[in-house]
Amino acid sequence: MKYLIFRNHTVEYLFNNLDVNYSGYNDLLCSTADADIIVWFYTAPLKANNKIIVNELNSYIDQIKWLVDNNSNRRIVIFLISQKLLLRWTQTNINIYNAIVSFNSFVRSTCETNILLQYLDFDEFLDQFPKTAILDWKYYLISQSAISPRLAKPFKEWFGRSMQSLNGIRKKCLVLDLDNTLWGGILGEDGIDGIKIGDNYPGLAYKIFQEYLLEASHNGVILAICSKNNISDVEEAWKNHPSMVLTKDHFSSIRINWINKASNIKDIANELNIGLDSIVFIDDNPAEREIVKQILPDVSTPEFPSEPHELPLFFFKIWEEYFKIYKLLEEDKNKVNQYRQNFQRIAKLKEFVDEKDYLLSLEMVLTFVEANNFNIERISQMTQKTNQFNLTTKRYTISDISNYISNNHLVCCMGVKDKFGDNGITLAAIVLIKDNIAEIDSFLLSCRILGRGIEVEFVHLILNLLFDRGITEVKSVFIPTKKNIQTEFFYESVGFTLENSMGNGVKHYSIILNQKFEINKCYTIIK
Amino acid sequence: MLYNNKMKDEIYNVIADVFGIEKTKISEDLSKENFEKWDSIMHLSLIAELEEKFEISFEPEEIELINSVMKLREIIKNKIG
Repeated sequence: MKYLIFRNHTVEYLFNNLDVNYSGYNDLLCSTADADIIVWFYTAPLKANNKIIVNELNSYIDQIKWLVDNNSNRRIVIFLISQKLLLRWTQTNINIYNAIVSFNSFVRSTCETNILLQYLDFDEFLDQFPKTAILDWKYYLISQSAISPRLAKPFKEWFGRSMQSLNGIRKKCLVLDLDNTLWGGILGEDGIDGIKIGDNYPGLAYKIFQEYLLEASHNGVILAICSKNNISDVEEAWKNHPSMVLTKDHFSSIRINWINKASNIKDIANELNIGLDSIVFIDDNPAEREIVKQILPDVSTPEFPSEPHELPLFFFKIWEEYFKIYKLLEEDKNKVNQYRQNFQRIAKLKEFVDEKDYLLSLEMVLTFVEANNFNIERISQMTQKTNQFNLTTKRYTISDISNYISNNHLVCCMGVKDKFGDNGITLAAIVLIKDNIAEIDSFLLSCRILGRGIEVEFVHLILNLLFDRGITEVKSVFIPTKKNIQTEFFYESVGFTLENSMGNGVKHYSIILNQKFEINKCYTIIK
Repeated sequence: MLYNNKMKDEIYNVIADVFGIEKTKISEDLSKENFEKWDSIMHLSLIAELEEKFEISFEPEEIELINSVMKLREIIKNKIG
């Protein structure tokens, strides 16, 4: 990933862990040709005269407009301007304040309408430090560094994490213990009246912790329980405790038993069809954490605070570190519901002997569309996050994908709806087209819709579309990873011919198109 | 003397860390002149890191003067004794 940083001060020591080029100070004309990501990182000018500062701040808006207009196909990340570096001459002179506010709101609204633009709130980083630590005039005077070089280390960490969140990368699931984690005390010993959760300390700390967890689930994080307890005690507490915020229905997977927690967590991962590296395990007991750390090193297992009053801040830390994302997509918001609906689908499957009857009973509606501004963000997110059903595991940014589209390659995706709910866009493919030969570069689907034959239908729809466009031959490739082994024979199963198989497990295929594939009657297709 | 060695060791650690090189590659003669990586930006990072580590503050004139490991150690020594 190659960065190009537009700046008005010395910033090299903040980015020297990355592949970066820099513009000159206040230089807009620097070539952006080989940058993958453009970063606009200006800080408020350190001038004494208010008018000059305001004029300069106002000119940044035009600079951003110019930059965006001249790099329409490129991803740009813009730093919001912070007030913290400037002297406040009087309480009532708000000219500078207004100029900063209007610059920042200009950036926010521009980013809302253009998916290639994103912003970073620099104050989120600076807020951790006192003013005197942020701007060290000595360094500014000898080298024009507006941000003290002493902040380089925490800056690099913050910037790295922030870029992940801009890319939509985060953990998926919180696996929670119960006793002394979701409430104070031990349910089996203290009883439903004895556990601490309610409106007085320490119960209040647990109640607030649960409220934040509930909000986390509204923000697309799956909650699960892994606890050594008697299931009947817990069911009673969920049903009858008046202050309980989280109850049975909030959890997508529940393991309440006396089996060791590492096995339970593995089970939960299987049931939810997510990787162990998407799980964060929260447990107050250091021994349990240690076992999980040893046996399942891919699971994140943060330390748990020793005092209940530390719980809210603990939640903030967990959120920042593992779950923060730039923006919630519809698919994220609905995810928790979708995992729950999957239970209902599995229950339904058990009623049927014949798979076809089962598929028919789901009343599935598949919406096949070529990429456009409404789904390009989701397609990029899927390439970044999908590990299991992903034939080549190539990661793409939004700008990569829009480049494919503007070069007339085929990028398409499919939404899946059934009578239990809407899964949103859960399949995506990228097909590179050269003359009358096509190559499937990426083909992936989200695991929550596996096992319904939809992936086969998706390939057929793509091949039919290519056939209509005069393509006669389609090539494809399988690249093995640690996680995608279930797709090893996918192309064989949908009619491709294996051309060759390399020593490293990579397999090349092709298929000749001479007629259209018939569409399975179990699905309603919308194009 | 023992204290001196410990100090030297810690300074070398910081240099190795900032420049991302093996500690064995560092000598008293290492300087801006003969080490390409030691440019003005790395110099800033090095100074900031040393200030943090030893809880000292260099004057701008000193920052300018430091051009080799030897000079660096001399100036730090004068500061902490």
